[in-house]
Amino acid sequence: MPRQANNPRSDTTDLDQLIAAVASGSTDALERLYRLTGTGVYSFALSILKNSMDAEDVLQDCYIQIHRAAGSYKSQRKPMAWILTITKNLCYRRLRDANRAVTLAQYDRNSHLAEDQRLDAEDRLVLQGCMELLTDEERQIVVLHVVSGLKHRQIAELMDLKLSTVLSKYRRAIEKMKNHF
Amino acid sequence: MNRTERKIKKAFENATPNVLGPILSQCQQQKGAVSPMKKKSRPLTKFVNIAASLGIVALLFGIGSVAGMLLFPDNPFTPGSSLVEPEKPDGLKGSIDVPAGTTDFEGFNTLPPETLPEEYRTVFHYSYEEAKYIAHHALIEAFPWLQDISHCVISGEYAEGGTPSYIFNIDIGGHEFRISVDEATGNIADSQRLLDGQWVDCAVRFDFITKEDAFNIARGNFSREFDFSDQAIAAGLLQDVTITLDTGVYNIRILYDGIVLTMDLDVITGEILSVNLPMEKDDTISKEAAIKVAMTDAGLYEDYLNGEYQVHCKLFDYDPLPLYYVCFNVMKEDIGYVWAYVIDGIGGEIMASSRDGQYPGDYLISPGTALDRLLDRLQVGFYKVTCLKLNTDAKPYYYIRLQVDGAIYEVEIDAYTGEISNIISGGEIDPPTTIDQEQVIKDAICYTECPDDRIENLTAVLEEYDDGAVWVVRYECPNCVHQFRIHAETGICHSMSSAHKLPGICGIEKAEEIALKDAGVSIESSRFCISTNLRGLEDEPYYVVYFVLRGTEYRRTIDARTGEVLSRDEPVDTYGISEFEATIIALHTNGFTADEVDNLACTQKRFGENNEALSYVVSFSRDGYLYECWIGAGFGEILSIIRTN
Repeated sequence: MPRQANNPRSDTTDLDQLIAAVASGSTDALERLYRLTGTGVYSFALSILKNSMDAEDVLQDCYIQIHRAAGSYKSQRKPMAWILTITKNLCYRRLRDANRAVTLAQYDRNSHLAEDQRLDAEDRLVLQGCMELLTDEERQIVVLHVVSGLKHRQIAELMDLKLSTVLSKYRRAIEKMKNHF
Repeated sequence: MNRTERKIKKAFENATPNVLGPILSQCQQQKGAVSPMKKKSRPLTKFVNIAASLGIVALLFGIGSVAGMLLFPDNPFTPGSSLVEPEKPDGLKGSIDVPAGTTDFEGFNTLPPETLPEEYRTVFHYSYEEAKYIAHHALIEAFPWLQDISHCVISGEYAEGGTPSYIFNIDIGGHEFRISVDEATGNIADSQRLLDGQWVDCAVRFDFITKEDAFNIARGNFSREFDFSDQAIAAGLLQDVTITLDTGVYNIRILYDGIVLTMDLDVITGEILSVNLPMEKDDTISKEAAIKVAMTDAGLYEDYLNGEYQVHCKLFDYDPLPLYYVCFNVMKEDIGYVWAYVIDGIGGEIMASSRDGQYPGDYLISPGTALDRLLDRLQVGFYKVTCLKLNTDAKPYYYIRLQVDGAIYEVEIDAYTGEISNIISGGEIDPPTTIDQEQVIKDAICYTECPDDRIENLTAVLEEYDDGAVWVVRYECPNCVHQFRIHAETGICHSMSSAHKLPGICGIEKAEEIALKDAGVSIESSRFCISTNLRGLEDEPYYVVYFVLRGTEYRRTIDARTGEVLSRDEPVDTYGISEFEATIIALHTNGFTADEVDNLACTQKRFGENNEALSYVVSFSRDGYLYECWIGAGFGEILSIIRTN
């Protein structure tokens, strides 16, 4: 499974370089980019779609999209934000195409994710809590910060929210999760 | 990253599938077909522009921190003839045993040891009072027996000549010292003791975290969320820094791009004692702003400005964020209705609203109306509402959980139309089951990161109480002892205690026993919450025992060696609205006034599976129905309405 970079901030240059290498056709670079950012992409998609199968599809589509669009990427020192914007657009498109509103009932805890052998009891508890206790915005903010490694300021830009809103929602969400454990 | 964040990160990492193969395969097929994406350019944020203009203000900061001090050019120190070891009055040698300062903590080591630009440097200087604290404590560290003497006189001067410093004359019970503290670094520059009428040098030092270190610790911690790079500082994002030393703790306040960040650090160990991201007082919107949000939403702001409305507005400083509760009466056809809003104290967003009575157009229906709609649909007799709440995150809806003859219904009702928008469940109630020992041990081990094969002395004992059973799980890791109380039916962990295994230190159980005995209480519920942690390992180890009993929170600190109770916090009462307000909210939610009901009563209770929320229970009877309304004691939200006939 892909592992998120430990320190996304210091990897900004790396990611920029990798995207440039992807643009020049390097599959090695695409593979490395996937390993560094895949978890963040999948988690963000899952936080929007609340459906592991759809999130997996978006994960796949996202890197194909990156492969296509890497040539037009201009570094603004925000490679992760660029990748997550692609992810967000793919998720919204998927929701729109299917013309479906995601409800709590659609997150079936007994389906694919719940049966995943890679997850232990605590992981399932955490994911269940994220899906059921947090609002859509709270969940996306938490995932973007904790898993994807975005700063609150970048999250505010990505989600078109005020920084103070992101901060307060983040703190509220973490508090909810803390109480859930 | 804290424990909760780590758990979330781990869960998502483990859930991520590996689809690299299909991606590479598809990319190979599509090679060459590149379609450029349209990119939306973003203007610079308003914050950056404001920050740039405020940068000038930031440059001026700190210049005044040393202004106004008395200047004494002469250094009264005379060179000492010999260096003496600290000595007790009885001739026994004293020892200087000061814990080494440390800045090792998560996240900090990833940063280079940078400092603020020159213009900020005066922030790190020490005031007279701070230097006095350092001088006094350095002396106590060097001569511990001085602690036993209560008579202490300290007078000081500021000497600008050479290296600016403070010079203190300290008289403790007739033992006279002169200590010089460097104004810029806080270090002991010189120390002398009066012996036989002669000033002689003495070994006095105080290892502590400097203000500069403290700032770097804070910056290291906050830089996970805020950019503290040179470029960011040059852009003026860092607007203000204040670091003050107060009784062994550094209070750090950083104004970053309009946001106040605060942190408290132990001055000796550098341990982070508390962190606050947005500080409520400086970042909270004003009361008028909160009223404006509420009244504008109600369409009554102009009337309010004309003095037609009396509005009750109160700020509750809640953790994690402050909330305004705005409440006012609306008269319609000679009938008064209470409208209430809960406003995010930082962002100014409406978190929840309650508008009683009949609403035109796009106004929300009341909770009582939502419940009536559901009951009309179900056509049931005896029922119990276990949860009724308004969710306003997106399209507002009421979530109602209803218990009817052994079945539970969970339903969402459109808060605009009253239509039932989603039936989540309607099944039988599962009988209570007890989690088996194997499962509860597995769960308890999950709470720590100790590998299974390194766990020793594992025990799990089932304790029975009137309201249920609880598993008490205890085990030892190589360095620590852990103890958990896990509810046998719900699996909820109500208590979590951990401590290092050190010789001569009493165990967790003993510390908890002492604390409970001191408070005059005993464990009488399966949901009893107690948390015990060992602190002060570098110096004098002590336990902090925190527990909650019948809605009251207690805290005791226990000397880990002697078992002595070192401090007792008074029971904590942190909640805001009054019984009267809770009663009004309950009555109006159901469409009544106090005159229209019988047997009206209000009591304070705990609510929720974890017993976590303090609430008011307002009960009354009307038309053959008995009403029981649970109202959040924080800002008056409706937690549950139970109506039985």
